[in-house]
Amino acid sequence: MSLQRILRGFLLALVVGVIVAALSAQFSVFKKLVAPAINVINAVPIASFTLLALMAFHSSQLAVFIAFITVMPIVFYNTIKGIENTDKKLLQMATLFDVPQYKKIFYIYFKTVAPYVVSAATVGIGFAWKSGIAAELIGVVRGTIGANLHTARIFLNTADLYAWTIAIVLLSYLMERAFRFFFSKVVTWKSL
Amino acid sequence: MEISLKNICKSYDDPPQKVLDGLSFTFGDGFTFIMGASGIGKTTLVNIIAGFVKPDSGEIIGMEGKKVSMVFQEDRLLEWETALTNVTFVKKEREYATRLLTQAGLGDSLHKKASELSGGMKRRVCLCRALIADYDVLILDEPFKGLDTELKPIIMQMVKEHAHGIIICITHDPAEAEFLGRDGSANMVLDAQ
Repeated sequence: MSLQRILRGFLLALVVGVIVAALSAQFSVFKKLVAPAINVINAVPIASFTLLALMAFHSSQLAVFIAFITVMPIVFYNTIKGIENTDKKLLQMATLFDVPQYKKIFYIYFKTVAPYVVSAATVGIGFAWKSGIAAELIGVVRGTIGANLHTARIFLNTADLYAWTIAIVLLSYLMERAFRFFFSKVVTWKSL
Repeated sequence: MEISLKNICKSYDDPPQKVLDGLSFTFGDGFTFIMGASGIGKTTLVNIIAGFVKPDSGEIIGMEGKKVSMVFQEDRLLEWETALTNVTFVKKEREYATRLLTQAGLGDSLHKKASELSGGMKRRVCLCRALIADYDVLILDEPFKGLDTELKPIIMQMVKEHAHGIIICITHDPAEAEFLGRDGSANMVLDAQ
Protein backbone atom coordinates (compact mmCIF):
# COMPACT_ATOMS: atom_id res chain seq x y z
CA MET A 1 0.00 0.00 0.00
CA SER A 2 2.75 2.46 1.01
CA LEU A 3 4.84 1.56 -2.04
CA GLN A 4 1.95 2.13 -4.42
CA ARG A 5 0.98 5.47 -2.87
CA ILE A 6 4.50 6.85 -2.59
CA LEU A 7 5.23 5.73 -6.16
CA ARG A 8 2.08 7.53 -7.36
CA GLY A 9 3.07 10.72 -5.54
CA PHE A 10 6.61 10.51 -6.86
CA LEU A 11 5.59 9.93 -10.49
CA LEU A 12 3.00 12.68 -10.30
CA ALA A 13 5.67 15.06 -8.94
CA LEU A 14 8.03 14.06 -11.74
CA VAL A 15 5.47 14.75 -14.47
CA VAL A 16 4.04 17.94 -12.93
CA GLY A 17 7.52 19.25 -11.98
CA VAL A 18 8.82 18.85 -15.54
CA ILE A 19 5.68 20.35 -17.13
CA VAL A 20 5.57 23.33 -14.74
CA ALA A 21 9.30 23.95 -15.29
CA ALA A 22 8.88 23.77 -19.07
CA LEU A 23 5.97 26.23 -18.97
CA SER A 24 7.93 28.53 -16.63
CA ALA A 25 10.89 28.53 -18.99
CA GLN A 26 8.61 29.30 -21.93
CA PHE A 27 6.40 31.96 -20.30
CA SER A 28 8.00 34.38 -17.83
CA VAL A 29 4.57 35.45 -16.53
CA PHE A 30 3.79 31.84 -15.63
CA LYS A 31 7.16 31.57 -13.85
CA LYS A 32 6.45 34.75 -11.87
CA LEU A 33 3.14 33.26 -10.73
CA VAL A 34 4.38 29.77 -9.95
CA ALA A 35 7.87 30.30 -8.49
CA PRO A 36 6.70 31.98 -5.23
CA ALA A 37 4.18 29.18 -4.64
CA ILE A 38 6.88 26.55 -5.11
CA ASN A 39 9.22 28.46 -2.80
CA VAL A 40 6.50 28.39 -0.14
CA ILE A 41 5.86 24.65 -0.69
CA ASN A 42 9.60 24.08 -0.34
CA ALA A 43 9.82 26.00 2.93
CA VAL A 44 6.74 24.64 4.77
CA PRO A 45 7.59 21.69 7.10
CA ILE A 46 6.26 18.27 6.12
CA ALA A 47 4.52 17.96 9.51
CA SER A 48 2.48 21.14 8.83
CA PHE A 49 1.51 19.94 5.37
CA THR A 50 0.55 16.54 6.77
CA LEU A 51 -1.74 18.04 9.39
CA LEU A 52 -3.29 20.43 6.89
CA ALA A 53 -3.75 17.60 4.39
CA LEU A 54 -5.38 15.41 7.02
CA MET A 55 -8.06 18.05 7.39
CA ALA A 56 -8.52 18.39 3.63
CA PHE A 57 -8.21 14.84 2.22
CA HIS A 58 -9.06 11.31 3.09
CA SER A 59 -6.08 9.87 4.95
CA SER A 60 -5.63 7.16 2.28
CA GLN A 61 -4.38 9.82 -0.14
CA LEU A 62 -2.04 11.42 2.40
CA ALA A 63 1.20 9.70 1.30
CA VAL A 64 0.47 10.47 -2.37
CA PHE A 65 0.01 14.16 -1.60
CA ILE A 66 2.98 14.49 0.75
CA ALA A 67 5.37 12.59 -1.57
CA PHE A 68 4.17 14.83 -4.41
CA ILE A 69 4.59 18.06 -2.48
CA THR A 70 8.09 17.06 -1.32
CA VAL A 71 9.47 15.90 -4.67
CA MET A 72 7.83 18.41 -7.04
CA PRO A 73 9.98 21.44 -6.06
CA ILE A 74 13.17 19.37 -6.43
CA VAL A 75 12.15 18.30 -9.93
CA PHE A 76 11.01 21.83 -10.80
CA TYR A 77 14.26 23.56 -9.77
CA ASN A 78 16.47 20.96 -11.44
CA THR A 79 14.50 20.97 -14.68
CA ILE A 80 14.58 24.79 -14.84
CA LYS A 81 18.36 24.65 -14.36
CA GLY A 82 18.64 22.09 -17.16
CA ILE A 83 16.53 24.19 -19.52
CA GLU A 84 18.58 27.31 -18.71
CA ASN A 85 21.80 25.43 -19.44
CA THR A 86 20.62 24.25 -22.86
CA ASP A 87 23.01 25.34 -25.61
CA LYS A 88 21.59 28.64 -26.88
CA LYS A 89 23.52 28.40 -30.14
CA LEU A 90 21.87 25.07 -30.95
CA LEU A 91 18.46 26.56 -30.21
CA GLN A 92 19.30 29.54 -32.43
CA MET A 93 20.29 27.12 -35.19
CA ALA A 94 17.02 25.20 -34.83
CA THR A 95 15.01 28.44 -34.89
CA LEU A 96 16.79 29.65 -38.03
CA PHE A 97 15.94 26.39 -39.80
CA ASP A 98 12.28 26.60 -38.65
CA VAL A 99 12.57 23.32 -36.75
CA PRO A 100 9.25 22.56 -35.01
CA GLN A 101 9.10 22.84 -31.22
CA TYR A 102 8.59 19.10 -30.65
CA LYS A 103 11.84 18.39 -32.49
CA LYS A 104 13.70 20.98 -30.43
CA ILE A 105 12.41 19.29 -27.27
CA PHE A 106 13.23 15.77 -28.49
CA TYR A 107 16.65 16.46 -30.01
CA ILE A 108 18.06 19.40 -28.03
CA TYR A 109 16.33 19.92 -24.68
CA PHE A 110 16.05 16.20 -23.90
CA LYS A 111 19.82 15.75 -24.05
CA THR A 112 20.56 18.64 -21.68
CA VAL A 113 17.61 18.40 -19.34
CA ALA A 114 17.51 14.60 -18.89
CA PRO A 115 20.54 14.35 -16.56
CA TYR A 116 19.05 17.11 -14.37
CA VAL A 117 15.70 15.28 -14.16
CA VAL A 118 17.42 11.97 -13.38
CA SER A 119 19.48 13.64 -10.67
CA ALA A 120 16.33 15.24 -9.19
CA ALA A 121 14.44 11.96 -9.37
CA THR A 122 17.25 10.04 -7.69
CA VAL A 123 17.31 12.48 -4.77
CA GLY A 124 13.52 12.74 -4.89
CA ILE A 125 12.90 9.01 -4.42
CA GLY A 126 14.61 9.12 -1.01
CA PHE A 127 12.66 12.22 -0.03
CA ALA A 128 9.39 10.71 -1.26
CA TRP A 129 9.88 7.72 1.03
CA LYS A 130 10.97 9.78 4.03
CA SER A 131 8.10 12.22 3.74
CA GLY A 132 5.49 9.65 2.69
CA ILE A 133 6.21 7.37 5.61
CA ALA A 134 6.37 10.34 8.02
CA ALA A 135 2.94 11.42 6.79
CA GLU A 136 1.52 7.91 7.23
CA LEU A 137 2.98 7.83 10.73
CA ILE A 138 1.51 11.20 11.71
CA GLY A 139 -1.83 10.35 10.13
CA VAL A 140 -1.73 6.74 11.39
CA VAL A 141 -3.06 5.51 8.06
CA ARG A 142 -4.26 1.91 8.45
CA GLY A 143 -2.37 -0.89 6.67
CA THR A 144 0.66 1.24 5.84
CA ILE A 145 4.32 1.10 6.81
CA GLY A 146 3.85 4.38 8.71
CA ALA A 147 1.06 2.88 10.81
CA ASN A 148 3.25 -0.18 11.55
CA LEU A 149 6.06 2.12 12.66
CA HIS A 150 3.55 3.92 14.87
CA THR A 151 2.48 0.61 16.46
CA ALA A 152 6.11 -0.42 16.98
CA ARG A 153 6.77 2.92 18.68
CA ILE A 154 3.75 2.59 21.02
CA PHE A 155 4.76 -0.94 22.09
CA LEU A 156 8.46 -0.01 22.15
CA ASN A 157 9.06 -2.90 19.75
CA THR A 158 12.61 -2.09 18.61
CA ALA A 159 12.92 -5.20 16.42
CA ASP A 160 9.83 -4.21 14.39
CA LEU A 161 11.10 -0.65 14.19
CA TYR A 162 14.42 -1.83 12.71
CA ALA A 163 12.69 -4.30 10.41
CA TRP A 164 10.35 -1.66 8.96
CA THR A 165 13.22 0.82 8.62
CA ILE A 166 15.28 -1.74 6.68
CA ALA A 167 12.21 -2.49 4.53
CA ILE A 168 11.84 1.23 3.74
CA VAL A 169 15.54 1.56 2.82
CA LEU A 170 15.31 -1.53 0.59
CA LEU A 171 12.13 -0.38 -1.15
CA SER A 172 13.61 3.08 -1.70
CA TYR A 173 16.80 1.55 -3.11
CA LEU A 174 14.89 -0.83 -5.42
CA MET A 175 12.69 2.01 -6.64
CA GLU A 176 15.77 4.10 -7.43
CA ARG A 177 17.43 1.20 -9.31
CA ALA A 178 14.23 0.54 -11.26
CA PHE A 179 14.01 4.22 -12.22
CA ARG A 180 17.65 4.34 -13.32
CA PHE A 181 17.17 1.12 -15.34
CA PHE A 182 14.05 2.51 -17.02
CA PHE A 183 15.78 5.77 -17.82
CA SER A 184 18.89 4.11 -19.22
CA LYS A 185 16.55 2.21 -21.58
CA VAL A 186 14.89 5.45 -22.65
CA VAL A 187 18.28 7.06 -23.33
CA THR A 188 19.47 3.99 -25.29
CA TRP A 189 16.29 4.04 -27.36
CA LYS A 190 16.70 7.77 -27.93
CA SER A 191 20.29 7.27 -29.15
CA LEU A 192 19.30 4.68 -31.78
CA MET B 1 15.42 38.81 -55.66
CA GLU B 2 17.36 41.40 -53.63
CA ILE B 3 18.24 42.39 -50.10
CA SER B 4 19.43 45.93 -49.47
CA LEU B 5 21.38 47.16 -46.48
CA LYS B 6 21.05 50.88 -45.81
CA ASN B 7 23.52 52.67 -43.53
CA ILE B 8 24.02 49.74 -41.17
CA CYS B 9 25.97 50.68 -38.03
CA LYS B 10 27.02 48.36 -35.24
CA SER B 11 29.28 48.91 -32.24
CA TYR B 12 30.26 46.70 -29.33
CA ASP B 13 30.86 47.93 -25.80
CA ASP B 14 33.33 45.40 -24.50
CA PRO B 15 35.87 46.17 -25.82
CA PRO B 16 34.53 49.41 -27.34
CA GLN B 17 34.67 48.89 -31.08
CA LYS B 18 32.76 50.20 -34.07
CA VAL B 19 32.56 47.25 -36.46
CA LEU B 20 30.13 48.54 -39.06
CA ASP B 21 29.85 52.23 -39.88
CA GLY B 22 27.10 53.19 -42.31
CA LEU B 23 27.38 50.13 -44.54
CA SER B 24 25.11 50.07 -47.57
CA PHE B 25 25.01 47.26 -50.10
CA THR B 26 22.56 45.32 -52.23
CA PHE B 27 22.76 41.54 -52.43
CA GLY B 28 21.28 39.94 -55.52
CA ASP B 29 20.85 36.35 -56.72
CA GLY B 30 24.00 34.26 -56.88
CA PHE B 31 27.18 34.39 -54.85
CA THR B 32 28.36 37.50 -53.05
CA PHE B 33 31.63 37.16 -51.19
CA ILE B 34 32.52 39.03 -48.05
CA MET B 35 36.25 39.18 -47.52
CA GLY B 36 38.55 41.13 -45.28
CA ALA B 37 40.79 40.83 -42.27
CA SER B 38 39.67 39.09 -39.08
CA GLY B 39 37.62 41.18 -36.67
CA ILE B 40 36.31 43.73 -39.16
CA GLY B 41 32.70 42.65 -38.77
CA LYS B 42 32.07 40.01 -41.43
CA THR B 43 30.33 37.63 -39.05
CA THR B 44 28.52 40.54 -37.38
CA LEU B 45 27.17 41.55 -40.77
CA VAL B 46 25.82 38.08 -41.63
CA ASN B 47 24.40 37.75 -38.11
CA ILE B 48 22.53 41.02 -38.71
CA ILE B 49 21.18 39.67 -42.02
CA ALA B 50 20.18 36.39 -40.32
CA GLY B 51 18.39 38.37 -37.59
CA PHE B 52 20.59 37.20 -34.69
CA VAL B 53 22.09 40.63 -34.05
CA LYS B 54 20.23 43.96 -34.09
CA PRO B 55 22.05 46.82 -35.80
CA ASP B 56 22.44 50.08 -33.83
CA SER B 57 20.99 51.94 -36.80
CA GLY B 58 20.17 51.44 -40.44
CA GLU B 59 17.74 49.10 -42.13
CA ILE B 60 17.57 45.93 -44.15
CA ILE B 61 15.08 46.02 -46.99
CA GLY B 62 13.72 42.91 -48.65
CA MET B 63 14.16 40.32 -45.89
CA GLU B 64 10.42 40.12 -45.11
CA GLY B 65 9.16 36.58 -45.55
CA LYS B 66 12.53 35.28 -46.75
CA LYS B 67 13.83 32.02 -45.35
CA VAL B 68 17.48 31.90 -44.33
CA SER B 69 19.80 28.91 -44.23
CA MET B 70 23.30 29.11 -42.84
CA VAL B 71 26.62 27.44 -42.29
CA PHE B 72 27.63 28.97 -38.98
CA GLN B 73 31.15 29.97 -38.06
CA GLU B 74 31.01 27.22 -35.42
CA ASP B 75 29.54 23.87 -36.48
CA ARG B 76 26.48 23.90 -34.18
CA LEU B 77 25.85 20.21 -34.78
CA LEU B 78 23.91 17.87 -32.51
CA GLU B 79 27.09 16.10 -31.41
CA TRP B 80 25.17 13.11 -30.00
CA GLU B 81 23.24 12.47 -33.21
CA THR B 82 24.41 10.87 -36.45
CA ALA B 83 25.54 12.80 -39.52
CA LEU B 84 22.32 11.79 -41.28
CA THR B 85 20.09 12.87 -38.38
CA ASN B 86 21.90 16.22 -38.21
CA VAL B 87 20.92 16.85 -41.82
CA THR B 88 17.37 15.46 -41.65
CA PHE B 89 16.89 17.48 -38.45
CA VAL B 90 16.21 20.56 -40.57
CA LYS B 91 14.28 18.81 -43.36
CA LYS B 92 12.94 15.30 -43.30
CA GLU B 93 14.17 14.18 -46.69
CA ARG B 94 16.25 11.12 -45.92
CA GLU B 95 16.96 10.22 -49.52
CA TYR B 96 18.16 13.69 -50.50
CA ALA B 97 20.17 13.97 -47.27
CA THR B 98 21.88 10.63 -47.99
CA ARG B 99 22.64 11.76 -51.53
CA LEU B 100 24.12 15.06 -50.36
CA LEU B 101 26.22 13.44 -47.65
CA THR B 102 27.45 10.80 -50.08
CA GLN B 103 28.37 13.49 -52.59
CA ALA B 104 30.28 15.22 -49.78
CA GLY B 105 32.30 12.03 -49.27
CA LEU B 106 30.47 10.98 -46.12
CA GLY B 107 28.70 7.93 -47.53
CA ASP B 108 30.51 5.66 -45.07
CA SER B 109 29.86 7.94 -42.11
CA LEU B 110 26.10 8.48 -42.42
CA HIS B 111 25.42 6.68 -39.16
CA LYS B 112 28.43 7.91 -37.24
CA LYS B 113 27.72 10.36 -34.44
CA ALA B 114 28.87 13.92 -35.10
CA SER B 115 31.16 13.68 -32.06
CA GLU B 116 33.05 10.87 -33.82
CA LEU B 117 33.68 12.92 -36.98
CA SER B 118 36.79 14.97 -37.75
CA GLY B 119 36.64 18.77 -38.06
CA GLY B 120 36.53 18.62 -41.87
CA MET B 121 33.81 15.96 -41.85
CA LYS B 122 31.71 18.03 -39.46
CA ARG B 123 32.06 21.02 -41.76
CA ARG B 124 30.73 18.94 -44.64
CA VAL B 125 27.74 17.84 -42.54
CA CYS B 126 27.07 21.54 -41.82
CA LEU B 127 27.15 22.31 -45.52
CA CYS B 128 24.74 19.46 -46.33
CA ARG B 129 22.41 20.66 -43.54
CA ALA B 130 22.42 24.20 -44.94
CA LEU B 131 21.86 23.01 -48.50
CA ILE B 132 18.93 20.68 -47.73
CA ALA B 133 16.94 23.38 -45.90
CA ASP B 134 14.30 25.51 -47.62
CA TYR B 135 15.75 28.97 -48.12
CA ASP B 136 15.84 32.12 -50.15
CA VAL B 137 19.04 33.40 -48.60
CA LEU B 138 22.01 31.12 -47.96
CA ILE B 139 24.71 32.42 -45.62
CA LEU B 140 28.03 30.62 -45.60
CA ASP B 141 30.42 31.72 -42.85
CA GLU B 142 33.80 30.26 -43.79
CA PRO B 143 32.13 27.10 -45.11
CA PHE B 144 35.30 25.36 -46.30
CA LYS B 145 37.28 25.89 -43.10
CA GLY B 146 39.21 22.77 -42.17
CA LEU B 147 38.73 20.98 -45.51
CA ASP B 148 41.85 19.50 -47.05
CA THR B 149 43.06 20.80 -50.40
CA GLU B 150 42.05 17.67 -52.33
CA LEU B 151 38.49 17.68 -51.05
CA LYS B 152 37.87 21.41 -51.25
CA PRO B 153 37.19 21.64 -55.02
CA ILE B 154 34.77 18.69 -54.82
CA ILE B 155 32.83 20.30 -51.98
CA MET B 156 32.89 23.72 -53.67
CA GLN B 157 31.50 22.09 -56.82
CA MET B 158 28.76 20.50 -54.72
CA VAL B 159 27.85 23.88 -53.23
CA LYS B 160 27.82 25.41 -56.69
CA GLU B 161 25.45 22.69 -57.93
CA HIS B 162 22.98 22.82 -55.08
CA ALA B 163 23.05 26.41 -53.78
CA HIS B 164 20.45 28.83 -55.11
CA GLY B 165 18.91 32.22 -54.35
CA ILE B 166 20.94 34.91 -52.63
CA ILE B 167 24.20 33.34 -51.44
CA ILE B 168 26.38 35.34 -49.07
CA CYS B 169 29.75 33.74 -48.46
CA ILE B 170 32.43 34.82 -46.01
CA THR B 171 35.87 33.67 -47.04
CA HIS B 172 39.52 34.55 -46.52
CA ASP B 173 40.57 32.76 -49.67
CA PRO B 174 40.24 34.66 -52.98
CA ALA B 175 40.63 31.31 -54.79
CA GLU B 176 37.35 30.11 -53.25
CA ALA B 177 35.61 33.27 -54.46
CA GLU B 178 37.10 32.84 -57.89
CA PHE B 179 36.03 29.19 -58.12
CA LEU B 180 32.47 29.76 -56.92
CA GLY B 181 31.95 33.13 -58.58
CA ARG B 182 33.11 32.33 -62.07
CA ASP B 183 29.66 33.05 -63.44
CA GLY B 184 29.96 36.74 -62.59
CA SER B 185 28.96 36.98 -58.93
CA ALA B 186 29.31 40.31 -57.22
CA ASN B 187 32.30 40.72 -54.94
CA MET B 188 32.01 42.71 -51.78
CA VAL B 189 35.08 43.49 -49.76
CA LEU B 190 34.62 44.76 -46.24
CA ASP B 191 37.45 47.00 -45.15
CA ALA B 192 38.60 47.87 -41.67
CA GLN B 193 36.72 50.99 -40.61
